[in-house]
Amino acid sequence: MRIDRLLQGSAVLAITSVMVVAGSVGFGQVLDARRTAITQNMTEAVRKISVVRGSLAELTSDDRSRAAAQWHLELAQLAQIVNGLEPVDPTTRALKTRIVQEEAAVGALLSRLEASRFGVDASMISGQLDVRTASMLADVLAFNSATGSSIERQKNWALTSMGASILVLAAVIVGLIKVLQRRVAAPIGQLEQASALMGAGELDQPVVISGTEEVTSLARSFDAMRLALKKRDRRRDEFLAMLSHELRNPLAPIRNAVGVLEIADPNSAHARRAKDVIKRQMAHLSRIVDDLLDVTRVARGKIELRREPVDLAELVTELVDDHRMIADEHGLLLGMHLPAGPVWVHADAPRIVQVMTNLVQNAIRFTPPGGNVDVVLTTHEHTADIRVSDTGAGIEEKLLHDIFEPFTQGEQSIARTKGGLGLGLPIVKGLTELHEGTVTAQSAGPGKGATFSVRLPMIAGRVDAVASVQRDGRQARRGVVLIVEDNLDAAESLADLVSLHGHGTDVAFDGLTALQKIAANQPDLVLCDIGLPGMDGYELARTVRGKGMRIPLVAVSGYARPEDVRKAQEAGFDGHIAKPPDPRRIAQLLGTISAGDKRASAG
Amino acid sequence: MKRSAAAGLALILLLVIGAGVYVAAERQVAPLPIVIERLSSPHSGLVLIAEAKGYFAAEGLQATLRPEATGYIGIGSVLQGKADVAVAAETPIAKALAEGRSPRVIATIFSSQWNSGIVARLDRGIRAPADLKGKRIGYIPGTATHYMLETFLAFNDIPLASVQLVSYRPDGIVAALADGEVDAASCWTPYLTQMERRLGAGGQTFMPKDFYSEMTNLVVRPGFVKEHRDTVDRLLRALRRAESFAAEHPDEAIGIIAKASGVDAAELKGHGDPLTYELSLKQALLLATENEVRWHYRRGLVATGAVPNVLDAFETEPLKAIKPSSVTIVK
Repeated sequence: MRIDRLLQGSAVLAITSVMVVAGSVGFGQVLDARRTAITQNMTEAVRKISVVRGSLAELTSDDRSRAAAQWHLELAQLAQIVNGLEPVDPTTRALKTRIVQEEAAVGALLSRLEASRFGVDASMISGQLDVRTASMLADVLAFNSATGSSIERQKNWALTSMGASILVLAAVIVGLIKVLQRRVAAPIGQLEQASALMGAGELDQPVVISGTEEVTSLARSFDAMRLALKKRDRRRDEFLAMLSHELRNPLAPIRNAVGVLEIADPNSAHARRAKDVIKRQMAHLSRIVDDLLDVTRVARGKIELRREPVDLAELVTELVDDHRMIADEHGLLLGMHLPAGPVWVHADAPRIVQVMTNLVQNAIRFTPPGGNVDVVLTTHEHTADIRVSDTGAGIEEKLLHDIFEPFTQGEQSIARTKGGLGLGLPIVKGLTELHEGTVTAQSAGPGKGATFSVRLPMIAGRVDAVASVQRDGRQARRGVVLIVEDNLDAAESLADLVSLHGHGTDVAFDGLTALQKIAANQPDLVLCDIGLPGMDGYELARTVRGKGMRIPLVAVSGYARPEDVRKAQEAGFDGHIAKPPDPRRIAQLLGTISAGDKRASAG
Repeated sequence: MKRSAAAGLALILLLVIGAGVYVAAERQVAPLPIVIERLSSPHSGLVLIAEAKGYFAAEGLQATLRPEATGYIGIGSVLQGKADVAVAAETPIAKALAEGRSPRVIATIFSSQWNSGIVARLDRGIRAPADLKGKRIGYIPGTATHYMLETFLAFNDIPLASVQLVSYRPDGIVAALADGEVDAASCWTPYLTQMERRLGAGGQTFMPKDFYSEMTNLVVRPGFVKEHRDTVDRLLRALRRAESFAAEHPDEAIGIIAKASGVDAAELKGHGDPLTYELSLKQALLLATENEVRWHYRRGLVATGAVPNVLDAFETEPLKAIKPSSVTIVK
């Protein structure tokens, strides 16, 4: 039942009923007026017939001129009344016919009586007059009675119609109220309760409410919302559990390694291994945090691509080469198929690398030893298609729909041997779509491997690009890098990293000192923390820029939200690196010194 | 237990069905007998319809229908107990009353101003009513057409002394006119139409429709209503059905009446008035009967005696019970 149709139907019924009631009242009034008029006419007719009958005796006497004049007048008026009679049915029509005949007969008899010279038996005529006037009187009364009955029947019919219409109207109103109460108000009340329950966090109670089609549909949408919330809730809980597990995992070896470093000879093999452990686990932790930040930025559309012509063939080649060793370690055969020439796309190379790394690493991670992972690059008319397929764990069909949603992962054991936060694929999807591309997943089912396809639009025509050469920082010229950081360890470790790339380093632990050193030494690059004692990083940048100095300034900060990056740019920084800084990003940054570009670039 | 209950129910059912069959059979096997003398003319229209449509049997009457020559003869049969009901106009009823007899009227079944008239011979120079003066006019004494004839003469200012009235029996009047024994004759349908046919172009008919209307009634003997109320009720119910039939199927009704009266249906229909076959008891009938009782005395048609109370001749209760609106006689 749809409420709008119900309301339309009820309105039509109600209006019809009101119209019938109004019509019945009007019709009743017309009938009353008609009845009154007929009764008046009939009364008049009866009176005239009575007068004629009353004058009969006088008409048979010698002096009958007065009586004759009287009945001439009465009969003329009676004729008018009789002509005006309106029959209502066959009976009254027949009665009128007979009344007219009788009236004519009475007229003829009276005329005859008036003209009679009484050579004949006058009582024969007056006797007939007596009979005919009596008959006419009876017929006039019968006509009145039949007309009255007919009008009464019509009035009863009108009253019945009116009563029925009032009943219909009442039924419509009561029915509407009942239906609205039962099918709208009550279900909305239930919906309100369900909403309150959901507001209180109770998502297990199904919302099953029946009412009008609209209300039922609303309830179904509501339940769908509840299920979606429940699913999201479950995913969030699973994600948080997973996140804490994933964050805890690297901490244990780091703690162990720190323990080893505290007691081992710094140059011993133990210490070296401990440092390696710390390095690996730090990298792992950084990746987790990076992924978290990326997925947030993708979701909010805050990633800004630095697009340039990129040869996908070269990119895929490098990527496969980079992963060959890991594949070997996993006992997998990593295959690659490329088209003959370069495949040019307009893309942010590091982001495309991030996409493909995610897919290839997933394939490696989920494929048991002895399996295959293949990366195939093909081109179509306007698109390039990178397919990463494996012979691994495969994906359940029900999971295929949600696999690109954040926090979605296949069933995993408590041990979480496969690890990961389930953020890789959402990032892949987000980044691909930012490139106007599409990503799809296919799998024949659990244990039957999976194929992920990334399709990107190609650049029409050939592009002469210098491409990836710039990604190599080994040709950097030597420069001086000023590190501004109030945390001693952080400052020194960063300085070590920079110096390992062959650059000179200087360290300032607060903003003012940094300002002085910049002014005095004109460093090639400044890596600057934001939270500094006295003058903070932003102020330092503003001051430097205020003095017209073009020194490349890069913020290295734990404040890594998009608005933090924007704030840094507004203060005058040329770039922004999130803490802890990825050594590769540092290396890339240091490479810009070699190009002689005084404006450093960082994501 | 269940079986005996079922057997009991079956027995009760059988008894009920048996009783029903018995009552129905009783009703069917033993209907109330009634002997009706009727005119084979349109006056008996409702009786003819009820007869043709089986309404008497349907109302549980075993009706014996006998033809009568005149209403006056029929009244005689009823009063002598030879018949239960007679069909008669107000004139023979008035005559019987004037004679001191006690016919009882239970209903009017016919009223018309088209059913009787005067047929005159053109070869005797009769073209207008006034031409009847000095002529021999045939009539059937004791009938409505006798009274009608004298009213006609009075209406046309023809003194009775100026004409010669010759009485006939119904079966002789047609030939009397055709053979020229009389110059004109007053009679009712079907004799009227027979006379017209016999004279053809040589005849002239005068209808008293401008001033006269005859009424035909059902007459029973005194005490009959009281003793046979059920029979009377069934009779009136059967005639009521005939009345409804005539109103609803006028053509078929006319066909039945025309066939039984030996007249042309088209002619009957031409004079048709929807209220001709109306069941009633009207004050006009009472007045007409009183007038005609006085007429009988005045004309010396019967020996003058004690003037009867005409109102006593009308038994209004049975018809009032069946069709209240049709009874306007106040008793």
